[in-house]
Amino acid sequence: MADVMLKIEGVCKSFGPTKANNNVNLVLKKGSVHGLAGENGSGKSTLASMICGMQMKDSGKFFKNGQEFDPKSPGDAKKNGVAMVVQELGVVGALSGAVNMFLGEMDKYKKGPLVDMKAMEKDAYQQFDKWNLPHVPLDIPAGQLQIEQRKVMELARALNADPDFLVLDEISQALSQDNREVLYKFIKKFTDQGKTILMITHDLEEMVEICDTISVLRDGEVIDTRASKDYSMDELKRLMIGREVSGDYYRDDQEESYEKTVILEVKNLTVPGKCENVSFELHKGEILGICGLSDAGIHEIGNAIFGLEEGRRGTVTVKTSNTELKKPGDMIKTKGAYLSKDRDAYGLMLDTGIGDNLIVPSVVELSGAFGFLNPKKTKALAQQASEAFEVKSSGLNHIVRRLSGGNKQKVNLSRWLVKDLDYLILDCPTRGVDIGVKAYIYSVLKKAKADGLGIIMISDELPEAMGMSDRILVMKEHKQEAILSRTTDFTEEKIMEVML
Amino acid sequence: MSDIKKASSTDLKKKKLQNQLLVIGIIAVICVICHFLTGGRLLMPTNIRTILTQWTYPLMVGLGMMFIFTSGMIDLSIGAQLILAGNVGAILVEDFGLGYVGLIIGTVATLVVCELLSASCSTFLGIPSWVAGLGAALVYEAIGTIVTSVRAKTAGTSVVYLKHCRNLGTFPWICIIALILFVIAFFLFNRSTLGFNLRAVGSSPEVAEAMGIKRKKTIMIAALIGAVILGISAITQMSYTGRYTAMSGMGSLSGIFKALATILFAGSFSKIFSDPVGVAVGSFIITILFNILTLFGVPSGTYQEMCLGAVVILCGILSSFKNKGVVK
Repeated sequence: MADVMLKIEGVCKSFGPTKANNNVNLVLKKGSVHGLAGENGSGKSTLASMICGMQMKDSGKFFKNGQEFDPKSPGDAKKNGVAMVVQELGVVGALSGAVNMFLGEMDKYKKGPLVDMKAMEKDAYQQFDKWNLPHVPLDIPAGQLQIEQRKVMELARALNADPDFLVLDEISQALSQDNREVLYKFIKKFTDQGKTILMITHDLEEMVEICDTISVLRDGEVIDTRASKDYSMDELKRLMIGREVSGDYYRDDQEESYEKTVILEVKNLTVPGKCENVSFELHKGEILGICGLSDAGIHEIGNAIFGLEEGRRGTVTVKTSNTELKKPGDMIKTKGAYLSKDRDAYGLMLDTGIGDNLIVPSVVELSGAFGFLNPKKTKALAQQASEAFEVKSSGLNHIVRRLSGGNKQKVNLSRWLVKDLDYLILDCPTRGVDIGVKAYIYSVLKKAKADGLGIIMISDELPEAMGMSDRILVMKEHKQEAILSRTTDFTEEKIMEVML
Repeated sequence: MSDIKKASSTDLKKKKLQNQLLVIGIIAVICVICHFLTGGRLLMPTNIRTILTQWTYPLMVGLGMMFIFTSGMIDLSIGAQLILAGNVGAILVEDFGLGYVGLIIGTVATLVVCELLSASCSTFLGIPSWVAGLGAALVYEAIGTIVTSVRAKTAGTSVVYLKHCRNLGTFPWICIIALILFVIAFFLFNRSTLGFNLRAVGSSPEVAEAMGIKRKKTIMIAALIGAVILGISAITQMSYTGRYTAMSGMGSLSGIFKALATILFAGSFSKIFSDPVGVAVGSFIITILFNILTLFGVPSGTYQEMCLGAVVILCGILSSFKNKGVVK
């Protein structure tokens, strides 16, 4: 028992009639990385949040270092050496990064009645340095940080309490390739000290590579636990989903294939400090991937094309109608759409039903005389989108906030794809979705490509960009470095060489 | 990576400073233009003194409300509390001869009790704060009306006039008090543990609680601080004007509308100014606007209120331009 960090015995948790966790039994060893695999909604995050004190279990027991451990709050868990970087917990956007890092424990920085901000910032950066994490600006409101920066900051914040047990829930999904490497080095350093990590990630290859042990959850129950080296990818997928998933869900052709017709032309697109002189053409039926290391400016390109970045220079022209895109409304008028990386903040209306979310992009088409919506048409469209994209829910009134990440993305994507679009910009379309939904999204994109849709796919995941794109535009230090062809250039080494 | 981040952090600070100077510059230019348009009356020393004096009330009430509203409580009973507390303080001076001690303790204590009651209703009973505030406002207004009408039978007048102990409402004391309150509020809000906890609770209660911040305790302390500031503003206002007329039927809301507008201004310009500075700038703009309108001969009441409403909408429009950039 001496080498056991956390033992979970018969833990159950229900939300109304839904059993999120049912009789979960696990043993997590000291100095190990334990992965939790499962589809969206399989109960991974619920289990993690109970260990962190964010939710109370209905029954069962946790034992940490041999002692019973029953955290009533995250603070309680922290006192017991348990820290987390989880999906549910974010940052206070109005406060600076430094303040966010020490929220709830600022008394130690009191200098008379005030708080010593400089000492706090200094200690915060020491935490970053201690674990070799990349620095993020801590003197500006955390809400102004990018998702990636926020995640790194959340990780540093979690480490403040010097925990011996750390829960990482889908942190790597928000990180670009280079910062993932930083994360992996951190994980090794952490576990080398005899500490334990519970890791949840939808990137199964990463999970197999990083974790020592993997437990598979399905419908709230642990159905298998073994050493990660004993799993094959296909077996892991089958166990998670309960059916066979084809080994290769990316495209199986190796040739650039699209029509000659240019749909979108981007010329010298520049946003000061974010991207410089980006130029490319998007063709009918083409998937153009955009890749780069963190801060290379890939996400800003999507924003800039859509018209959200201030101070944008250069031109973005829809060639089919010869319309220049200047503001978001122009894109919608020219049969285009843009899906942000942060779907919760910039995509979905989280506290309204699925139905309302599905019809929002189509209200103009659904409006009858005097602008009133036709209830029959709206319901039919919402139903069609929901069924066609297999959104798992209790119905069209199901509140979007309560959907899993994968189903949220299905709602986000389906409402645009039911429309007659010419081009689509996707920023990290499979971020935070499980393997089943991922495969489904790729199949939908392949079909859309075959139907002639031009797609710009901004991606932090190189395998995804390589697997799906006809060409990849590589960004380096905010500049366009190269456009590589599927036919001749698609090897990981070659793309990484351009990125670096 | 870190070099790029530091550069962007510096850029943001530089941009913020530029925007701050721009707003202050625009206000200064408008003041100079209006000075000439009003025949040189706006920036005359006597008028500047009037402006500074009149600035203090919306500033102090705005600062008090800032602490309460930031915690997430939309307490609409503050106007009624100010009237009730001011009258209690004045009665203690005029009817009981308790002097400054009665004025200060009576006013502040009344406001603290009223505000903590309102805050408790929403914090501990789970009633939405605006509902609790509206209910409390009717209660406090009724108590104020009853107190003054009972007094009318004995003193012969329902309005409590403060005839003694009025030094705190005279220039420069009223400005010195407002300045001290502003400095204290600024540091409490921006540089103290309470201020950070309060902003965390107001912005994201779940994150705040997860970080070990005691939400209810923080809200109640913020309400207490807000009430003390409001109490002091009631004292200075009572001392300056000599009376607070009791109102009923939610009439007390009109008394805090200028302060509400400053809160809105501070919220709209939160990317440029921290909240206390936003309240100070907003209350100054509103005060000077009313002064200019008066100098132009615009009738007080309807037309001046209409201009105030227009300024509030304009502030909202300007701030929405600043929020155009998406932060991911």
